[in-house]
Amino acid sequence: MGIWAIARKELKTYFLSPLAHVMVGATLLLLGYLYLTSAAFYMVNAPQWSAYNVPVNPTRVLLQPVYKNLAFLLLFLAPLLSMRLFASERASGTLDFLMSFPVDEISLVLGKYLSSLVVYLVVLISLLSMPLYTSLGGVVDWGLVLSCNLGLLLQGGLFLALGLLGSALSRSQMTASVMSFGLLFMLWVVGFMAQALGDVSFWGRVLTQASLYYHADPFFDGVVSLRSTVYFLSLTAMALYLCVLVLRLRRWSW
Amino acid sequence: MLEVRGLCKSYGSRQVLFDVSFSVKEGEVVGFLGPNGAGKTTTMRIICGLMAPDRGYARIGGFDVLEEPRRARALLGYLPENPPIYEELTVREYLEMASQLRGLRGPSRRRAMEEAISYCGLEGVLDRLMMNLSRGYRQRAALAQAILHSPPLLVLDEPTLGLDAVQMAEVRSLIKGLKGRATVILSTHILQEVSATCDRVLVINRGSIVADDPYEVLEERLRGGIAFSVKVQGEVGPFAERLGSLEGVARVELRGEGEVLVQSRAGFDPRPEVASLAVGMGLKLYEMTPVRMSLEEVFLKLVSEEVRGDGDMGHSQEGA
Repeated sequence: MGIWAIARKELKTYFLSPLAHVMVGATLLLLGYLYLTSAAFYMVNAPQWSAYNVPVNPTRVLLQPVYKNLAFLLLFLAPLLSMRLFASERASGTLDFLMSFPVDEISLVLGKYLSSLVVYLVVLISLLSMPLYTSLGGVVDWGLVLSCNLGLLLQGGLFLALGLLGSALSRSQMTASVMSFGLLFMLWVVGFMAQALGDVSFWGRVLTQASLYYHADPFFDGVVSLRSTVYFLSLTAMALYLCVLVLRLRRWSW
Repeated sequence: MLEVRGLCKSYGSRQVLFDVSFSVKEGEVVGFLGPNGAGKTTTMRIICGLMAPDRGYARIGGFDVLEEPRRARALLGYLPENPPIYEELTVREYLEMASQLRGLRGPSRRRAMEEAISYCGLEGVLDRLMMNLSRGYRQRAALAQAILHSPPLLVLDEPTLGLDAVQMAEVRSLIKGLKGRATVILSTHILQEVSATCDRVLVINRGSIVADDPYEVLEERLRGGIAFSVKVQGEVGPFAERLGSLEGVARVELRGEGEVLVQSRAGFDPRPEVASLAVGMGLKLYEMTPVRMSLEEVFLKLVSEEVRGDGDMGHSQEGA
């Protein structure tokens, strides 16, 4: 109940302000352009591929790059989307107001988190127009589309949770988004060290398991693994729990 | 209704509350009065469970605000120092959200909203965005939010801060109207406010409660003796000098053109002696009028008194 009231208020704020519209619009525009780029690439090369009997999955050529690019864009999109959730309330003093209601911190965090997730879902659902459009002219590998979307949902879910954490830590939206971006980027590059160390060393293996790339990439190849799903969900839960802790600890500080 | 015991709180090395204790009975309207930085907001925030004290506790209706926050907060309506508004929401959306967060539903929710809206006079601005509201209306909307669920306890932190005189009077009359409907504790650094609205006054200074009295008693206690002005014709200088040596006179002040201000000690009324002295010195006595000490003066006195560590209220202006 508390969760829904908070989520509804946040969604109103998202869609009444230009923020959500601009962000969703810009993302779709950018990805639309990338889709057209893939389409052009496909059109130019398709005759050659068929001439030499190269087996090509059009979904892989047309749609996979778009989804992979969204995964990258999320590095920027998630902090921008979630930065205001707590930071603005702290700055304007309305956080105290919310905390004076008989609503616990968990509902507060989940309500805010859900609202950002809904905005992100609008992006993902709008993007389904691409496979639908593709299906007009050919066969779409819906399994791959589904797996890509699942990967994006999990990764986006984690990124938004970390964005929320950044927001809970600061009263300035700018600081919040920079902190969240730092966290996300760290997660993005943590696997690079694993590559340098190689798979045989202990730390190499640990860092590989911790790496975002290691867990996210298979989804874009149509591989849905339970282990990676657990990786995303547990990190998301951890980030949200840290948000709750930050809110609770606020009472003991200034 | 509200019980506060032994609150201590430090920000870093600076202690802002020293063993603050008080309780508020059901139905009381209590003013929490103190200069800026005295610890009013900190106490209010602790009462609302927004901040944990280093020591001590606050209980609303018997529920500890930190241990049983949901039950305690359900009894509470809170108006923070800065009106908590969401600029991008309309007043109606704002109150809808607040009522949802309060868990109000269906017809009871509609009724609660209608009552709060009409009580705070918000009918005309319901569909306006809050960013376009004047400070006075923002405050009213915030107050509507606080009384929405008819809470037994209302905590109002500086409810008239930043309002102009007309808005202030409006908000005060709204608060006055709450008497009998809820227990109210309101903080302020403006004396008029407590005299206009409160039954009982808690005075806080430098993190300690320095007075806890019904308003009239506080005023009396602060006033100590009586003050009156004497208008005479003739040589005022020697008259004033002689006045100063009369028993029961605490202070004498020359006010130009034949007027002298006399402040008595507590429990003394030296007016007959003053009159006979004037006549005895061959002066023409025209007028003797009591002067009500403005409460602002009283307050300054109270606070500076405590700073000097001088507990005796009645003699504070001696030699001042």
